[in-house]
Amino acid sequence: MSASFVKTFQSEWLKKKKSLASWLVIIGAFFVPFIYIISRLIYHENTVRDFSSKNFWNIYWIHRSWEMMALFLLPVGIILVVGLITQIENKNNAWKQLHTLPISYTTIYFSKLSIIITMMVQFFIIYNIGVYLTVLVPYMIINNCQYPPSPFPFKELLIQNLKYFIDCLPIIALQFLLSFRLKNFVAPMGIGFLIWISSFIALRWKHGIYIPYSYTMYNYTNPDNHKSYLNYDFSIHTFAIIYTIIFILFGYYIYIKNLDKS
Amino acid sequence: MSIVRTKNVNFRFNNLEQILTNINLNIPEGSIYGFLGPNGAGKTTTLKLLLGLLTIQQGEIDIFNKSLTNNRIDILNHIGSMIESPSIYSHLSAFENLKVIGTIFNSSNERINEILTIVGLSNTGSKIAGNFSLGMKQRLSLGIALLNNPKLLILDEPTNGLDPNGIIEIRELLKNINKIYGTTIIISSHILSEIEKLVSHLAIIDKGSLLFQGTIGDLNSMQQNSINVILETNDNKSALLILNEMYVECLEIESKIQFQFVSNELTSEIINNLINSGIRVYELSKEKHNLENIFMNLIQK
Repeated sequence: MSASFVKTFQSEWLKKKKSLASWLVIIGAFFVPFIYIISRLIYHENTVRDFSSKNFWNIYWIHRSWEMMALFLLPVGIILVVGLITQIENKNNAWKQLHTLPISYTTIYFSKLSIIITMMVQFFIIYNIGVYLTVLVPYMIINNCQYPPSPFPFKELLIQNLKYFIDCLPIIALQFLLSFRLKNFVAPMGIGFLIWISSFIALRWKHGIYIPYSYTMYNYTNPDNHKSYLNYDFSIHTFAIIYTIIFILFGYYIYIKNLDKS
Repeated sequence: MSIVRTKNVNFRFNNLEQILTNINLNIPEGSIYGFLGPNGAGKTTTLKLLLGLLTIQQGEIDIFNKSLTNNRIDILNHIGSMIESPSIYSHLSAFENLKVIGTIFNSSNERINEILTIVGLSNTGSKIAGNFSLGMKQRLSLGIALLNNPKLLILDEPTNGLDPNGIIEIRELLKNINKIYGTTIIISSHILSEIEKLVSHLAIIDKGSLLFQGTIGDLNSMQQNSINVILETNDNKSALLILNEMYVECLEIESKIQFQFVSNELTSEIINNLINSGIRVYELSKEKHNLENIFMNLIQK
């Protein structure tokens, strides 16, 4: 990793400080856990029952906690965050300033992309802390509520996080491409929402697997749904990685080829 | 020695509209180089080309004796710039804005504070730049341009939208930077009076072509060569005949006669001839062309 990339990454990290995007990551990550905590406190009898289940961690915790995220908040959040991060330059008329710094265009492109991916990692970490609090807070507050007795599923938790993270990447890559290309704030978001809604509608369609924003949804509903009609044994995560690479490289190509960097 | 040299630079957008035609700039090191022209003349396009923001289509640009095309990053290490409106992050404070750029240049916090003092923003604290006045934003943008202690400063209309006080402040600041650090400054404007007190060299551009390039002294020589004499008499018709007999080219404008000043001797001879012919001279005055007139004449030709 070159020194120039590290410096540019640090500069970009400072730039996003206090921005709406950085707040969105924190608030968005705590939103669902907060709802779950409230819900578990209100319906405390169910909570006590659920916590004593031997499948609590895998079914009531890992799987259910991703429901809202996988279907709605993760795709929508990414569309918003990527738009807001690239909008920092557009809104402040700062592309020309950035492009007159002694940094290569490659460094600029990939450092901005890295910032967004790092913010996603940050989001996942905060979200997991939040989700753990959905167990810890009710356990501490509700009387007679025992801590789930079954062993904590570290491995399953990490695998599930990794899968959702990979499934997010095509959304990040395409939104990044669109936001870099279109200076308008609304257009990339509009296109993003359109693809997300299309993914949702096409969730039960056999070719829905080809829509790049559908993988978080498939991972939640049925990750192997497509294998019965496709002749090859690709997982949705492989599709996600292939789309990500294509979008990143295409985005990079059109950014480099743009003759007007002001 | 030239710090910037361009050779036959041509530029057009979308292969349709010719924006620049054969621009040959020669900017001496240590100068304050005014780049003057009306709106849409091609000033910003030229400056964007110098900064690599637009890709050069035809011609050559050398900065610090290096080709811009092959040494973009190396050259940009020694350039500070401000193109059109200020580029500052409105959600960050002045210090944070400088820190964002300073991280790229390895600038210390001391250097950032020094810049804040130079541009008069050291007392802004945590106030976000979005709440700054236009003048403060311009000064912050100038501070960003100065952060890497550049050898060359490229400023596109830096006083746009500023009040007269703000214009004077920026002018004094640039003079000091040039004097203390020896920084070469290219400053564009569409108003000559704004920069004529600041610059040592000047280029005038219109419709994408360079009309004049030289020192302020060169431009003043042009001024000396274009003084008109205004004459008002009781009988302009007879006066015109006498002037024609003396081979003085003249014309009558709004009941006054105008001819080009050649020498004091000739002017004196004209007066004598008019009086000897019984013509009463009510007014005789020299109409000096100021730099603004010369600029206007150049771009109207």
